[in-house]
Amino acid sequence: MRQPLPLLGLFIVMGYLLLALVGQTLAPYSYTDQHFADTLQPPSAQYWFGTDQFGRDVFSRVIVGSRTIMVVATTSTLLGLFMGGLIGIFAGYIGGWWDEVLMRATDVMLAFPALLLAMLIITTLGSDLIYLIFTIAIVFAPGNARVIRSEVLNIKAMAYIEAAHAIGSPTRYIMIRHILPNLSGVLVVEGSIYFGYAIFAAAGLGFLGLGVQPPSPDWGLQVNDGRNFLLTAPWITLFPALAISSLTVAINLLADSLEIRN
Amino acid sequence: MTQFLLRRLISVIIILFFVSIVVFAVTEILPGDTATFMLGQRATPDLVVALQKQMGLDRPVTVRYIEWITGVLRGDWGKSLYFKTDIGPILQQRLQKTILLTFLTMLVGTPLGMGLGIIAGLNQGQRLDQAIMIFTTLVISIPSFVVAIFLVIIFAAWLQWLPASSMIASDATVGQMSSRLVLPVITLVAGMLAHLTRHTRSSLIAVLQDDYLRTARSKGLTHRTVILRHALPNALLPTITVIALNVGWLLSGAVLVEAVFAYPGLGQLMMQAISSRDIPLLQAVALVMAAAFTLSNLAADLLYLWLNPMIRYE
Repeated sequence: MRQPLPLLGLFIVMGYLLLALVGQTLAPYSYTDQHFADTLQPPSAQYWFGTDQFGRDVFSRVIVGSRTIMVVATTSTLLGLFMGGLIGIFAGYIGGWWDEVLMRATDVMLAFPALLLAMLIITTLGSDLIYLIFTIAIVFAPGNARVIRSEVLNIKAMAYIEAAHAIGSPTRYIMIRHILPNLSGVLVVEGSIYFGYAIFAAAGLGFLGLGVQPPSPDWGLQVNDGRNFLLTAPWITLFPALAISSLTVAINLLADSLEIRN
Repeated sequence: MTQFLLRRLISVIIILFFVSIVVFAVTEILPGDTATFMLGQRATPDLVVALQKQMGLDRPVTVRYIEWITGVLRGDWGKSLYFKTDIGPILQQRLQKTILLTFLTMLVGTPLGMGLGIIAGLNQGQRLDQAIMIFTTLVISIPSFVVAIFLVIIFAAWLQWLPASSMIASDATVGQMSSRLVLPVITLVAGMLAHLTRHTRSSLIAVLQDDYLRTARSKGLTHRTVILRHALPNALLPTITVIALNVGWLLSGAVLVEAVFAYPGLGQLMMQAISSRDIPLLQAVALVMAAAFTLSNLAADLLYLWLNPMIRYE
């Protein structure tokens, strides 16, 4: 059955990725330029999405803001998948004491609601782009490690692994050459789910003021910035909010279809 | 069964113990100690040392952890640096507010979520089912604080039916309070609804294909009886878990929604603790939230065990 929705999801995500790469050149104004004569202007031909309380062009800020969230989400997803994958493969394949310690550690991490853990870590580390990426990566790594571990356990029970073991292949060789390639399906699905979580977390932390610091353009931060003007100038919040939700809906559509296909 | 219960309880206690260590460690050991953190930009080496002495921070971490955790177990949460009072009463007051929000959300969201799930499940593959599934996909995909912003723009800015903020004065009347609770509750219901609806739907669809339902139908029971007496009790049982998990999410995860509406609950208290660098308060709120989350997961397991005859009589 042909599904138009996942394709639409893919299309939107790719669109935002493209925007993140070339957005700066498309933006009509600089995201920091303050047009003092034109503060709190409603959307018009001159300012497509209106201007904020400092007279900054909301359209330009939304466009350039796509880079922030995309950079944070992609890098933290890759880092998180790497950490989760490493833990999952070790715990699953080597088993025994390693498995016990690593899985109990994930139990403790998973006893925290993700956002709470992220808030705790980022508060102590400080709000820096690198710390933000690291925090989001580490918060979702335990759940990821669990899924990968159980998949490794399935693969481990296969005859070809036993055969590889029997002919004397070293453990590291089996892990890299036999287990890892067979994890690619799970990693793609997990990656898409992870990416969705990362967007949620990045936007949420940004909104709470714990993400990227001003004046950098960040959708979550923009939504928070405009909160005091919701009644008088809703466009300051509306457009970044629409950007966040279109991206998260698109990713969910994509992740759902990947999950079903797998 | 008893053995399982005991094992589960012990593991929860151990997890909570480690959770308390993590909460303490994250805020105490990672770069920058409490004194530097509190002083912020005013931190000169002399000031830091003086404050450390004053707060007893020059003693070893283990001693301070034991002091803190034994205090917590006795109900003594320490003093808030920002409010300059005992943390216990503040915590209690905010927890009550969050519990009120959680309760109202469950009250509205549980029947609504289950109802939508049942309707979708009974009409599998039809227009109504598709519409409900598209709706749940949408609300599941949009972060709660963005949903909240949309609601404020529509109902407070555009239609002007409801207030945009949920700041509740201590002398607020019931009428004032209820109008301020509407938007936060709708937002949170939207956040919890989708999982419950999807779970109920798939559970019902699975049950509808079971042999015992064919038996029930073939012995001449009406469609109504088959659904109400035979299908639903079994289909709804697994959703208990989702409901209990929702409580955990609401008690601990409503931070963002509370922030949008300036609702004076635990989440907002956590934000206050962070922005005022109030470490003891931050530790207390984080511990309460994590404990609430863990305990509702435990409750989910126990409820399921207790209600499921297949496991109960084993």
